[in-house]
Amino acid sequence: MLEITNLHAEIESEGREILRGLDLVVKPGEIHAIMGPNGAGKSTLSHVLAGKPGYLVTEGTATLDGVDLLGLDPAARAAAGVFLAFQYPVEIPGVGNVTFLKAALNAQRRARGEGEISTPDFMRLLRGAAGRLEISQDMLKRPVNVGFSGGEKKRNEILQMAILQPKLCILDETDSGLDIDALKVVAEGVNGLRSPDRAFVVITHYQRLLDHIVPDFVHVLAKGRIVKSGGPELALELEAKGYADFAEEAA
Amino acid sequence: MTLVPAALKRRTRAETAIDAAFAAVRADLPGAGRSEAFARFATDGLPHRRIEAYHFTDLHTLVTAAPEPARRPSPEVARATALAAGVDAFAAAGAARFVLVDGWFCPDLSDLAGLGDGVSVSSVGAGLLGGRQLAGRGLDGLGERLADGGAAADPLVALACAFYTDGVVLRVAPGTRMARPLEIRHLASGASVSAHVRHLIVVGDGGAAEVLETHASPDGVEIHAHGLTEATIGAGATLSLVDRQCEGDQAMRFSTLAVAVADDAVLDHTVVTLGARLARTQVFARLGARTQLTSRGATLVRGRAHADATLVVDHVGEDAVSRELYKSAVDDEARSVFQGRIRVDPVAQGTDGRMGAHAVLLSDRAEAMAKPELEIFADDVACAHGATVGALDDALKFYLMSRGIPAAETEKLLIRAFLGEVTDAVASEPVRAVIEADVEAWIDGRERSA
Repeated sequence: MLEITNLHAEIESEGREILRGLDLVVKPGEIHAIMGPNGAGKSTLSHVLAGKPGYLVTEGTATLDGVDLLGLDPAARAAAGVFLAFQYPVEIPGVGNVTFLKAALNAQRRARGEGEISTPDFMRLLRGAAGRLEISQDMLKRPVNVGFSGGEKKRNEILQMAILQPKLCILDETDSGLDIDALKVVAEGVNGLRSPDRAFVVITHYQRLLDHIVPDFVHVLAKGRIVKSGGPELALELEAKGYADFAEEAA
Repeated sequence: MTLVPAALKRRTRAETAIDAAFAAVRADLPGAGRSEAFARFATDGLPHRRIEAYHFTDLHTLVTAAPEPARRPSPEVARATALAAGVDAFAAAGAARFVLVDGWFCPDLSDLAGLGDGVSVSSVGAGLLGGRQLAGRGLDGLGERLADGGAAADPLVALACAFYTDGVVLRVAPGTRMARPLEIRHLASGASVSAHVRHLIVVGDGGAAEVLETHASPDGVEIHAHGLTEATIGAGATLSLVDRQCEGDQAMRFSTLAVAVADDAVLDHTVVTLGARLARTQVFARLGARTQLTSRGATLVRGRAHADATLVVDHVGEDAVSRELYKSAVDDEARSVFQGRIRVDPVAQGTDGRMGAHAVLLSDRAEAMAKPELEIFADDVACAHGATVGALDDALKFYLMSRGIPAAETEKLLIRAFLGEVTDAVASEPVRAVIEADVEAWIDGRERSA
């Protein structure tokens, strides 16, 4: 599904290379956790895949089902099936949450040559997903993320994921700023979306999230490269020993 | 009679044309005070950047011509103009209609029925003619507002007072609520002319009035449209005023509202600026005790348009609340200017004033200037002002795009959201719908020209 080969990327304004030859293959139905010390390039990877401006890819490729993601703008990547759950979801005053969700879903459907969803079908979809994520009517009516708590913002990200039904979900430190109850709600939301056709890349600093979203593979990202891969046990090992070893290995 | 002081040298082409126009029409225009008003204009001519109130809107440079004053249109021209103008957007608001073509009232195009007992609408033109016989009773009160807040000293006000031909006189008796809103619809025949209109609105104590004004003219024609509205809102009365400016792309529009809000009265004022090559909207408001003023503006400019909103809000009574919020979307090489001054008199304790001016620049060459000012002479007041100018937020654009919304639609959503703070606050549902459609059409026009 997702194939990343020898990906090099730098921050455009600084010319500083963050990703230095990253390779990763994710197959449908799999959950891959990417862990690593601060500054390893975890968030940069998520941004480069989603197409955030400000990064320059200098070498390598990233494809989703054979489609070259790096040549597409963020909207086209979303229509191709990429979804990034933001570490820091932004507030958008004046744009209602429901309006936004419907506009996004219909834009993706149009881009894929599908018809727009009818309002009753959309409302049914929305009510179901919102209910499972404990998102109130009030939150749906408000402008996107405006006045939401940290936990509400993260739940709203998962709600968008549930509505948009992407092929590839990238979760960028979704656990940051969440207490244990909110973490469980978010994890259940993610687990509810697991399917044989959908893959997840879960970026996290801590092992805690992986107790709730159990990965098939765990990768250690250090100095812009995957330096070690393994099963869920690798996360426990990291939790016990820290990242010190990998920082040195990569250096 | 010498109308232009001999000492004046180096008149611009536009000023020379204005001088000649006044000399030509003066004898045909009834009503007092015109020569005095013109003298106030002529002394300094069109204001330039060294006059503080015109620092960002230098009329001396921007106004390069002065089309001849419009003559009363023939009934055929008036009918053809109304036909060409098409459907009246405010029809859905159930408004009565007072139609002017090139600044002249056209009774045949108007519908003034059903405003209710105690509401009288007449034309300034009729009042002026009547004035010759009846000592101007129909225009009682005209000019009273101009002493407030410096309106009389303004050169655009002076021009309107010198040249005005027609306008609305709306009187709402004390305790009376208008049965339907009154729309003042300004149309232009398409001739390159200057039109000068003056309105008088008097809402008696405890009354309520709603006035919707639309200015429209065809693209490609330089018209100069001058308007002066003098309004008196009695104690405990309410006036809702919507000014919707959809002039053509070569038009110049100059509008002034001079308003006195008596104790416990409410003024709800909305200005939407969508057209004109050069537009200046001025508000001089004088607020009594416990009054509420809301003045909100949405300015959408593109091309090389220049739009200026200038407010002077004078708190002269205790515990009045004023809220001014002006937002501009500025594209291409257009410019938006906001100047707002809240003055709080020593007696105006308990004043609560808040003013905001925000502009979003949609191109690298767009410009926005904002100058909010507070002049506070009382000690127990809460006043705040804020101004921001910037591009659409890249982080918001990326967030929306990352959900699949294409770039163009993303900008559209964000522009609409930015202006929504102004448009959403318009209380009347049908009026809000008209303004939202205006904003939508402007945004769509932006895509087409891109």
